[in-house]
Amino acid sequence: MDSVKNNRKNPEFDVYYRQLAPKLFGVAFRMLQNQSDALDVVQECFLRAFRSWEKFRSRSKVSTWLYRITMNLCYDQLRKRNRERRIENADSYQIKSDNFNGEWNLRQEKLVNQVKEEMEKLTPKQKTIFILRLYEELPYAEIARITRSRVGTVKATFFQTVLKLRKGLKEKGVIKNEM
Amino acid sequence: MKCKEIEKVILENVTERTAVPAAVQEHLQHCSNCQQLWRDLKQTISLCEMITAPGFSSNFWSRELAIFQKVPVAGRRRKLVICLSACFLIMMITTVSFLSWTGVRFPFSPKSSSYVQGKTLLPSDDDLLQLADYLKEEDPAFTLRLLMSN
Repeated sequence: MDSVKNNRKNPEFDVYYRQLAPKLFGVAFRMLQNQSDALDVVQECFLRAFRSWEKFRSRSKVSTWLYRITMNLCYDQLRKRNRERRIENADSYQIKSDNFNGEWNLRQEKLVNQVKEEMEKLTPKQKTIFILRLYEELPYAEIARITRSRVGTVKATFFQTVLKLRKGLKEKGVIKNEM
Repeated sequence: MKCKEIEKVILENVTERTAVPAAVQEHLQHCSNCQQLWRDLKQTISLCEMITAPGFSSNFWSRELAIFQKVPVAGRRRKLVICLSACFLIMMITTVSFLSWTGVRFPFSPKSSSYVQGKTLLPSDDDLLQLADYLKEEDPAFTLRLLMSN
């Protein structure tokens, strides 16, 4: 731990690491839906950043750069997974609550799985923008820099994604019409 | 405001924690379709927010940082191994080239294991047996003749 802190080449690295690793892990996990794959992605991301720290020219923020590396690694992983046709299990998904009992727990789990299924239908780009906007609460301009697209495109993609999810959840009966 | 414009405002506001503008609220009170859309989108977002990523394991930091500690060392060690291998390879190539240039022959070198009979350089019996083994599969008839003549 000290050796990283005392690393003369990049003393800020440790700070960025502690600050951004959990966030990048969250993004990678939501993209890949697998804990160990997400950890691998975060590890690889920081290894790449560590090696090219000197080359980074500060044209963008460090966080933007790291998010971009993470996204690219996630895309690689998804492509690899598509090739291998590996079926992921959703056991590591968690429900955002501590105090739930049996029946409620089962209902919530079913709901979460249905939402997860719908999220799986999104394209990698839609998923990226949706995750960065909803969970990371990044501004559209920042997302545009990460995904290397225009702000308008990012907004339009996000809106399409929300509408797509709404449609899917409605078809599944998760969202019901209330008149 | 028209429903299409309202839809755009709703989509822009759906992830915000702030309230929708007054004009939109007024429209929502009268338009059931937009009201439904607003409710649906809010519900969609809150359902998606239910899903959260697990936290890091306790040994995550130590494991990760241990890996980073090894990075420069591993890099240097690898470079050293590559350099040493390259030097060894160059030395081997130079030695073999030099020896073949000076006339040393492998593996049946007459200088090392043959004897001189008069003025003619003849191979030793061991050399011939080795050669016979070597040629046995290639040309058995030649091998037989060679053995008979010696």
